[in-house]
Amino acid sequence: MSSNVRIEELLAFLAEGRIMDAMREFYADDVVMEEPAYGATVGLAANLDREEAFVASVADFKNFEVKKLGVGDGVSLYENVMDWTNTDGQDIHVEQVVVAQWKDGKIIHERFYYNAA
Amino acid sequence: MDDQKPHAAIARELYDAFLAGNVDGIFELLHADIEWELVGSDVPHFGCFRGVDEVKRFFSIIGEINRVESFEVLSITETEKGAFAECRERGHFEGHPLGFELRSCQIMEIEDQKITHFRIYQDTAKMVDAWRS
Repeated sequence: MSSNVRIEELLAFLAEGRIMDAMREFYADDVVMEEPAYGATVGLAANLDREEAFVASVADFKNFEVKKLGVGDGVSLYENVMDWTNTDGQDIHVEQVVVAQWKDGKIIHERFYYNAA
Repeated sequence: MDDQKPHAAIARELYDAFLAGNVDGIFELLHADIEWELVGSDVPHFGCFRGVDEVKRFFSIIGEINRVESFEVLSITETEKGAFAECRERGHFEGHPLGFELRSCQIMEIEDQKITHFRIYQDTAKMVDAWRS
């Protein structure tokens, strides 16, 4: 099975704030994305809806910094920091780890680890 | 030690020691100035512990309150300066009825075969709920 982990290309998209472009370019049609606050979202269409809602809630995306990056057999992992101001004027700071499973150059599963308490 | 993946080998040593209950074996792998952090707050062992003595206090707290029923290392991935480990655990807090079952991603930085930074990301909400139950 070819995994073709394209994480550095994906991170370049995210650093430019091209979240929706990245979703269409790097995520498989049957992708499953899991995170503490929302559980599992199945399928690209449902994940595009979720990400569009997130993007619409952002008034000013201030920072996307990758602190650590690892690549294994068909898997990428990165720790990153993000800061943004939402449309309610709140400043949001998130530190997280993102673990993605890749197949044929697309992400088929992605899990987020962050403090959701 | 795996010459190709020396950081992953040290991470494996750490988890082998943990699973064997050999906390001294864990401490031997730590740099004197270790920064050990479980990201979050509201539970006694969450937060940052600096130095080996503070990490010993972290494990002392765990020993008092955390009843681990299972702990599994799912994967270890070598990085340039350390390793990522994905783990899964189930347990409960002593005297608290609600249990927890969660996954974590644990990040190590390693210099000269010693762990200098250890950071744990996990679904903290499940642990906070269990602690407050």
